[in-house]
Amino acid sequence: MSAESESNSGLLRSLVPPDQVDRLFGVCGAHGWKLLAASAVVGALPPLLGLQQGYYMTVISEMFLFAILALSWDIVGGQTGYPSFGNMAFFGIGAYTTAILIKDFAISFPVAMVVAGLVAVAFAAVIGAVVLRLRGHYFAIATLGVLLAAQQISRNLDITGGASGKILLEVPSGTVFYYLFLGVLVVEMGVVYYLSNTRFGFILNAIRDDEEKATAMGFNTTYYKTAAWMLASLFTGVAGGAYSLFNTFIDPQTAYNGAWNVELIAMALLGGSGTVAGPVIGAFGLHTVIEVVETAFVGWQLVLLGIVVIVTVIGFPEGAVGTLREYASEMEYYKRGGMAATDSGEEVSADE
Amino acid sequence: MAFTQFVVNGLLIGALFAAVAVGFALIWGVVDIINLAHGEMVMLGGYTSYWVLTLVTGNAEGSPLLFLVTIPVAILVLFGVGYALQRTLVSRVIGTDIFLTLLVTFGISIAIQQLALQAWSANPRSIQVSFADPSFTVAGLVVPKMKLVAFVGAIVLTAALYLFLQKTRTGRAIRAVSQNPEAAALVGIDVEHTRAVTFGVSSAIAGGVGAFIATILNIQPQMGLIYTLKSFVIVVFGGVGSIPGALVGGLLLGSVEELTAGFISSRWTLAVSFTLLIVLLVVKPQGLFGEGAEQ
Amino acid sequence: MTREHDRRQFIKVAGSAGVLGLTGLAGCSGDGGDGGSDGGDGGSDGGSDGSDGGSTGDGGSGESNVLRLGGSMSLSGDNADLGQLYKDAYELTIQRINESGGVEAGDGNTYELEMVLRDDGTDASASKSIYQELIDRENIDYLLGPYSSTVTLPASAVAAQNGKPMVEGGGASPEIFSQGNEWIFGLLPTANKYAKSYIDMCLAQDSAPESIAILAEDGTFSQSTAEGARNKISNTDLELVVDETFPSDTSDLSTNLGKVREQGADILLLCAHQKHNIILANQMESQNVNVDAAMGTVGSLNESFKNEVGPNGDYMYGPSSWAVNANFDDPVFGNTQNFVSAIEENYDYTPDYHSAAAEGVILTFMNAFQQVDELGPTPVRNQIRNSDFSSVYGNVAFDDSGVIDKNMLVYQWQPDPGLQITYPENVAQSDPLYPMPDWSER
Repeated sequence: MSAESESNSGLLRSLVPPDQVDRLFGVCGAHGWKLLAASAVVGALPPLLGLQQGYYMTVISEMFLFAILALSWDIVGGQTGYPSFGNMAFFGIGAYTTAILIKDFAISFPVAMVVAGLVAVAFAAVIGAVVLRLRGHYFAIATLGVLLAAQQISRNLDITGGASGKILLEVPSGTVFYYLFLGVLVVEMGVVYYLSNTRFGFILNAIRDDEEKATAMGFNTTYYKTAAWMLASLFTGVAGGAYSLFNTFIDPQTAYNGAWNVELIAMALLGGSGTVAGPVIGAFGLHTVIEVVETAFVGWQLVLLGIVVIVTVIGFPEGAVGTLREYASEMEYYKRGGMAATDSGEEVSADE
Repeated sequence: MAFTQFVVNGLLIGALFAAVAVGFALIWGVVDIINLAHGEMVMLGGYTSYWVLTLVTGNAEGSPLLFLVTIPVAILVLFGVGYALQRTLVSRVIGTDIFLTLLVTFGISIAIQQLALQAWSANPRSIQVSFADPSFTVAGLVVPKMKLVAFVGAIVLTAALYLFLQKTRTGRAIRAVSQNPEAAALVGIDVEHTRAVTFGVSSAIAGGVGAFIATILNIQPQMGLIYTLKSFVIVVFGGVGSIPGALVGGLLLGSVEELTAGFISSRWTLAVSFTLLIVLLVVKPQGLFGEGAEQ
Repeated sequence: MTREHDRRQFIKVAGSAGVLGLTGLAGCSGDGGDGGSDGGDGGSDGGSDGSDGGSTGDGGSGESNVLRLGGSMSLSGDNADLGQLYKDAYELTIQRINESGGVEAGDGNTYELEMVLRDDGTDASASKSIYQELIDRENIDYLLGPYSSTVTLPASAVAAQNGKPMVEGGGASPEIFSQGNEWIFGLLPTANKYAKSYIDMCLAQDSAPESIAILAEDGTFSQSTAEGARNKISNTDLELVVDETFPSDTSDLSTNLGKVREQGADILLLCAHQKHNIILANQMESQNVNVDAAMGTVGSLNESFKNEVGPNGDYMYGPSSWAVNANFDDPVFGNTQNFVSAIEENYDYTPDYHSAAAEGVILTFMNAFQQVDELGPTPVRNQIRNSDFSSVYGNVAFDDSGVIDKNMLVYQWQPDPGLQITYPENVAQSDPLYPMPDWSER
């Protein structure tokens, strides 16, 4: 990666010197809370300024949704180093919980959504106790197994409507979902940002970097891993709970969408995993491109996309944030002539 | 009686899953890559055989012998595909983050699948192999002849791979790289080449199995995913990198699925497989037979 | 899991490129929230730009004298082959209408038709935003339905929420029409009717069957078909001896067919798509399953099915809502046979009921445009409700739930003349070859 960026970044270097990028990191690090608040306000503005319910509102709401999911994935995947391929199981369980509660038990939407989050957390606690004992490829496969098993079970139960799923045509307006997804996203970003500056966040990163060492240092890593896993499931479950109504129907294919799970990972990685803003940026960026490509390359979009994935992963494995951070730290590297850390006042450092 | 018939059905189909999974297990063990495009190699092998047969006979029908002749072609073609993939793409992410390797092979899987869709359409296709009498009955058990041929073929392919690894120079090099790439390089083994050969051999076996699948079931551009998933389950059954383990794992998976279909209901087969996957991973992560499965 | 490979994820992955374009934003990366706000801005800005670009098509009626029909179709993904049939028939029909001077609408003006067709990649989760996009950005008032029930269901909800009429020829699940949705009209008999004619036909034979086996894929559509068949069976003397559901990803039916053989079912019904029909035909032979009749509900009548299975497909039955040799009057093509030859000429294949239903979709709109006094989604919808006209596809009239009033025909692959209509008797080309011969006698 660095070889590539060095070979073609001469022009970039003269336009945007690394030390300026580094300074930008520094500014952002110093004013994280203000920036989060400002972004929440900016995010809340479009409907007030006349964004009508419809296509654009749907697309932006979906961006918020994916940002929630990608950031949730990153709590476990990027911060703790456990590559989950089963996050969509929480999503599906949340989605089915609201669908069943609203349709079969006439429970109101807000209550159902809270219950959806809690059911997802309870499920995560049980599953986490089992799968968090595994690492690396084995954890990835086990979580994928959880997702596939959940999907198959939903296909065959009566309460979930079997393969047909659940149809919910009486739903709140698009504006409600816009603010709902935005609100959940802002809260989640706040929580993750807050935690990344606490002992809890440090321990998660320590588990990622070397779990044996973290255990040796006396941390109860199982506790922290499970807590992170449940936190991720809470936000994913709530998002799923809202999604079933947002989408007006839910079926096993949609609820436990393994492809989305890969998308989330791609978003987090390409934005920059292990950071707060990376997964969010990744989600916004990828989702924008989706919408463009979907209308532009009928029939060939998937071929193109497969190729783009390969090229991007091989070319920019650190993600946008990681690539920039590396770029920013180049200057310090030369200045100090050594292994200068990316000390932009930032604990949530990118994956090495 | 019913029990035996279900087990026979399971073994017949399970051998094919097993032969697909051995290559998957080998790549995982030697190159440390989970190859999400492995199912696509099955698909490409099936299409290779299909098109060769179509070229020769005008339609995809033929005698059993003629069909068997197409299998070396599928194997050769897929060896080339696998070798090239490793050399050009996968080698670039070896040793990096697990997510990156998964995304790359996932991207390959999609690109191949979609190109196949553009080239050959989504229509399912199958190879018709003509037997005078398509099945025989032994002690009340129905055994389709073509399935028996495919079963034997799958076992032969698996055994050939095993012997190749044990007896040949290249095979020993592959095992050396799997145990310690740095040391292997020190003693003069071309690690990159050896990994690419591993990828090629694994894809070749999958391709050969794909040809059999085209005769007893059918082939479609999007068929690959389920074979990749079953390979996951089988490798977890048998242990990473273990060829005998994968063989037994495949036969076991086939039997479990058919017994589920027979005694409970076929609707639960996949749910049972995936649940078993999780349980086994947790209870016995080194596989039922393997010693080879570390992290 | 097949659908897992839907297009969206790739697109999203592809967005990495977009992310790299947004590198400016990434400056604030590790540091909390600001990435969010920037991204949010980017999103909405991009949005409004796009809407300017998108509105060039200039919406509906009036000054440009163009009426625009829009929809999504499975042009890639699992059902791409069938999606193509719709696309071709849509295009040909619209072309013919425009060549003959366009549509003389009830408001006194003459309009050309124009179509905007997007690819949903056979992905239910994509169709919703595609239709929303067509309505908002392309200002489409008249919607063409997508293919397959799972994709149609969310699309029909968008139609209802926006008050735009949708006519579809590709979704036959009863659930689409049981939601009280007044904006959706379907040209296919619903799934629960798919097996009815077949069972009636078998019961009308001299040596009528006493038992039946059902094997059903676990998808929405196939399950509705199976449910309809079970209801039908409960009103007859037939005994249901095997009733098995299998996952769509299953590719081996041996064990289920073994049960059919063991139970000695007289007739067999497979509720599934083409892939499983091919497996069924081949494995009935290899498993030595001898029944008096066997029908696959979807994809068992295509030429590609017969090409793949060869003689093993002989004597198989399949339902169709339309016959290629039918003769119905049609205002655009003249009659059914002209339509068939036009498709054959332009696209090199023989149309099937998907093609004819697609033609019917366009004609339903054309007919409504001609009848209404004033163009607009609501009057057009009300007019469609009162449709009663003849097309290539047959007579088009809808019941209260929006489903066409039609029963299925039953076809059989006969060894000598080939595909023949065998039921109902008034349109049958030959008698069904019932019972079908045992495998040992073929």
